[in-house]
Amino acid sequence: MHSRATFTGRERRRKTDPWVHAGDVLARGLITIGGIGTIVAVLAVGFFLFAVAAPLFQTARIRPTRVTPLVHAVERPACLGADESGLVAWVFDPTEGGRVRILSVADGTPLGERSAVDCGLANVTAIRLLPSGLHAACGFADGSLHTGRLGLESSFVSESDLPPGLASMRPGDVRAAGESIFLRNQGGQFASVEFVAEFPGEPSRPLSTPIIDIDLALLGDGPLVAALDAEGRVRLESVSSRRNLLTDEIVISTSGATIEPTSDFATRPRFVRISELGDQLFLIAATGTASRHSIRSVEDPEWMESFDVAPGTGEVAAVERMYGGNAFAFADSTGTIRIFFATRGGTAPAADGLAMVAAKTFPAVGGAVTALSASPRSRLLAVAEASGGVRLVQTTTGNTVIETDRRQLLAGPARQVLIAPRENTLLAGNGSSLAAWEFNPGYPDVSLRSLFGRVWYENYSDPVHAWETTGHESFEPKFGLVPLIFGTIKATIYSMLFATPIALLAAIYSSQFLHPRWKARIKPTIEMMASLPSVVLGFVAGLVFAPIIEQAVMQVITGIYAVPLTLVAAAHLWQLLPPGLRSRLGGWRFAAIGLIALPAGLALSRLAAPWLEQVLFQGDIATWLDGRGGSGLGGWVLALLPLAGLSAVMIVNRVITPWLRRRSGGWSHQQTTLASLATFLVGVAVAVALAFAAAMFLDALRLDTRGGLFGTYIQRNALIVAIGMSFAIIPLVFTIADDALSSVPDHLRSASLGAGATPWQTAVRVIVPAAASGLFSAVMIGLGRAVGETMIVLMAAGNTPLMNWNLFNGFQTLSAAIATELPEAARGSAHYRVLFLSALVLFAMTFVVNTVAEIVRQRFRRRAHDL
Amino acid sequence: MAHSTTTPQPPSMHAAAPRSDDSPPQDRLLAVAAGRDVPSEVHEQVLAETPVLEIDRFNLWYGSKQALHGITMPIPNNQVTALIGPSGCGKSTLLRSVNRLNDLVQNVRITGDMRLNGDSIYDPRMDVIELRKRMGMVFQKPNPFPMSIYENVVYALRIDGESNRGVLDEVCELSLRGAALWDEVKDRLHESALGLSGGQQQRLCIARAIAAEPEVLLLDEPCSALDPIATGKVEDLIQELRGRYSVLMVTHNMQQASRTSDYTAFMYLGRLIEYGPTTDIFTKPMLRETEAYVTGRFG
Ligand SMILES: Nc1ncnc2c1ncn2[C@@H]1O[C@H](COP(=O)(O)OP(=O)(O)O)[C@@H](O)[C@H]1O
Ligand SMILES: [Mg+2]
Repeated sequence: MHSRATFTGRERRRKTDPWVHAGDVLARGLITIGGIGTIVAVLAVGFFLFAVAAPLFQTARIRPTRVTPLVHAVERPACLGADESGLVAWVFDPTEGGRVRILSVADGTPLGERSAVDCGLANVTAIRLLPSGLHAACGFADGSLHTGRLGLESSFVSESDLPPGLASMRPGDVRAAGESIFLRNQGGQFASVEFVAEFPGEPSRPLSTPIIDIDLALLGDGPLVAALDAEGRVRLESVSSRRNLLTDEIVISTSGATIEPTSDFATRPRFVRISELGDQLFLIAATGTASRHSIRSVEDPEWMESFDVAPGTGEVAAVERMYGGNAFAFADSTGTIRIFFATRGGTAPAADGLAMVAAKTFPAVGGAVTALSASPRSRLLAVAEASGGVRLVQTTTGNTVIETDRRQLLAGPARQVLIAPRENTLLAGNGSSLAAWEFNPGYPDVSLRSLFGRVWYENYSDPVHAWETTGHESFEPKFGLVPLIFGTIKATIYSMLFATPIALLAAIYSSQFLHPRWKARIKPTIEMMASLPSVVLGFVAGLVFAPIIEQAVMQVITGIYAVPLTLVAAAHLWQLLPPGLRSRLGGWRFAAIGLIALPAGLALSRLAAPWLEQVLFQGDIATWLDGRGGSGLGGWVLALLPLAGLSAVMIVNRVITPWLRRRSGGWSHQQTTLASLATFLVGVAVAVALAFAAAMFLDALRLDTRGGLFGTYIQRNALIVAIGMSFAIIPLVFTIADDALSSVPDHLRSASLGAGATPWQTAVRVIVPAAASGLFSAVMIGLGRAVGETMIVLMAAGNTPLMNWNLFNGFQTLSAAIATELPEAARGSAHYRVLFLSALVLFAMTFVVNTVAEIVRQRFRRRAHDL
Repeated sequence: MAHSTTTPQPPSMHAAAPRSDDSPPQDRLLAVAAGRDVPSEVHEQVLAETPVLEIDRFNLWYGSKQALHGITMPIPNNQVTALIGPSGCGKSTLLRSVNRLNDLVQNVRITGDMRLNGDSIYDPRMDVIELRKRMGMVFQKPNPFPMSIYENVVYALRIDGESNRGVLDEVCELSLRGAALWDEVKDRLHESALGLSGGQQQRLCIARAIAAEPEVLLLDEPCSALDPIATGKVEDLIQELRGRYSVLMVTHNMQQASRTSDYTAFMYLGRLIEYGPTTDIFTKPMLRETEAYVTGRFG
């Protein structure tokens, strides 16, 4: 190739540089790694969320049964207790003058024994223990009552304080050492356990026949006791102790009342119960007849209602106050268990407005119920049955959590059951043995049905979707994700309804009509808005806009309609300018709109608002929204106006425009413009007339938007969120939509304009369809943002997990719930895991939105790929 | 914005780079390249025709750059007029000026006027939209709208608000027949126009243009993106349109100009050099410069 003539005098190297090859390989590798990495990262996030949430759905576990023959045969253990760790139990044996036996749960080893006399329990006929704090009330054969502390008190000891030789205990071991009992719990900590029986002062003796049932509630100033004697008389006694500040003496005062047996009971009451708050008293006869008494004033109990807790043939076998103290479980001899609580506003409420309802029914499984015991820390209920089986049910969700294996029975049905304080041990005893199970209930208060279905929570009058996770210690957590999903959807829909039309119209305007000089300034400004931190937007919306808009609801509503109309009217008026002036001012069109038409629209809304408020809402929209007075007309007009507007556009296009076209043959520009302005005004009139007509019709049908679309105005509401969120969504949607519209090939525009189409016709008929895939992406990206948006909804939505479409009411979204509650949720708790589950739901929602978006976009793209 | 699909070439390339020994006489072309005014040679036959469009001392500037210099030419009614000339000489600009599509380009300034059947096109009181409804334009690159074949054809009627199905159907069929496309697409009128081949798309654009019943049909290199068979069909079509429409057509293809047109105008660097009956321009032009161009000795 020495003398080959070339054009440029140099020869091209034909061999590709190895570095170029290496670069290719490297780039391909990096891109592959990046792509796979992204997919892996997304999957990993999903998997992590799933891994944290999954234990919610694990079934409860129960470990092998240990049946311990009681060393001293106990005919009827009237009382059963366990220490904090669930390793030591005590039973009260009323025979032979009565004694308390303390034994190891694991192997039944006796660890101590106390005589009833020592404990102050001689001749006791009824004992009630409160699950926490060892509080107890006892009733005696002579009709006397005594309150005090009873049970196993444990206190942690350090390893060095242990008696010699005990440091070698393994977790789960229990040893008696002299008077004390030492144990090492499953967590490895050492503790000493002591049986406490302290009944200070003298018993009171308000009744004269044996106490057959007793109940206790711990109120702020002391215990409240209700005792039932063999003759059906009930004594209610509140004991309050106050420290005398001068003498430092404790002054104990009691007050109370006696309820005589009423004719209400065919048979004598067999059970007495009081609510944990000490405001209700229940008497239950074995037949199932029950009465409720208000005891707000202890001296003056009032009968409220009677109800039947065991309809049918059964006899009431056991009654238990559930954790939280509002709900009661009634079990009958057929084996059915019913959960009752008082609800407000039933069909026939009592004098206090409440009515007891049987909210849940657990059908019989293994014959008559022989004993019930509520968990001291959750709404688990242990049920012993005649068949010898014991099961655990959850009273919020209505699930049966665990059933013990029927073959490993006690010799006969259990007379006592107990869930140990940590919910790790289940005890059941009868005359001859004590059986123990180690169990792990998992997360019994969460199930797919309770997460996504309606649940009948305590004191609610109906099953509802609810999300409520914080409250006082023993409140009933409500893990219903539906209100949060609803909130997310509500936020998304209202925000998109508000933001999308503005963003898309702005994009069409800027890409097709805006003078380049203005566009060069305005587009970057709007794009910069997209970078505003959403916490700022939320702050502005929630703390600045919300109070202002609250004062000017009617102006804002009017503005939503008046401002766009003013802009369109201004565009018509612009066309009326002399052509020379119009073309000279061409570049200022945008400024004219911004500086004249927009303020004019705002001024118009301000002026028209009071008048509209008078016409539509009898002068005060706030009262109207509250549902106080006024007809449904105004709300319908507002709600129907957009629809009426669309219909008016169609009518005008179908009827007036063709008519005008036939007539306008030789008209000048001026005349045509005037005609189109007139058409516009006619269209507005038609829209308003249509809206009014439809509204009157719907109002005549007694339909009302209040309770649906509108309702009581709350300061932070969906409208505020929509406005705040629009600052985040509009720039995003606008930018992408504008790019999509601007990148429609110019030759399409020329072709349409060349065919005699107006710029607006070109935009609507050619440019928008051609850019459809891009516009759709823009909207979907906006939607993705709206679904996942956190700070704005957190600060502007009020965070009340309500489920209504009221534009003027708040809501809570999944994202806001996660953001506010996750830091407070205890790691590993049901709440914590449910929050992760909501994150997973949110993840799934955005995933679905984006996938659908992508699929639809590909459709569009294929259609338009060769423009 | 720029509608320039041909690379503008510096004038000196033509003027100063003679290719062969008997270099074409370039006095006028050199004068033009030097920026001097030269008179246009317009044959008398042209002036004898009734004009549908009169271009009258028309100048156009893109910013500070003048793209058209004092063009004065009448376009005969119901005849096919071809515009020829090297790339970048302003043919497209002239065509786009006729229906005022250049209004869309930033910083365009014009002087002079054009008249369509006597109505001044650049009169400030002229409604541009109305004006464009009187013309049809077909572009170099086929540009069907992203809609069905049917909707493409009746687009002009749709924007006029015509919704009578019968009228639309009839116009659609007649226009497609006119554009020699009917037989190929009659079974798939409601499928997307984007699925057609390039040649079909261009004939569709022609159908779209004639469906609007224009007074003048403007064709800007309608065959440059087509294969020879499609080109043949479009040329046949133009032949058929002759006598019914006034056609102003830009072409780079000398055979095409000589086959299809009645009159031919030769432009160079924004100026009209010679304008006369096609047979005269191709066989006995008044100017040797024109002869050099049409015989392919430069350009
Ligand atoms: N939009 C525009 N802006 C600036 N200059 C342009 C524009 N369109 C065309 N021109 C210039 O005007 C001249 C004529 O262009 P054009 O009419 O497209 O030529 P032709 O169609 O004859 O090839 C060229 O020099 C071109 O660079
Ligand atoms: Mg061109």
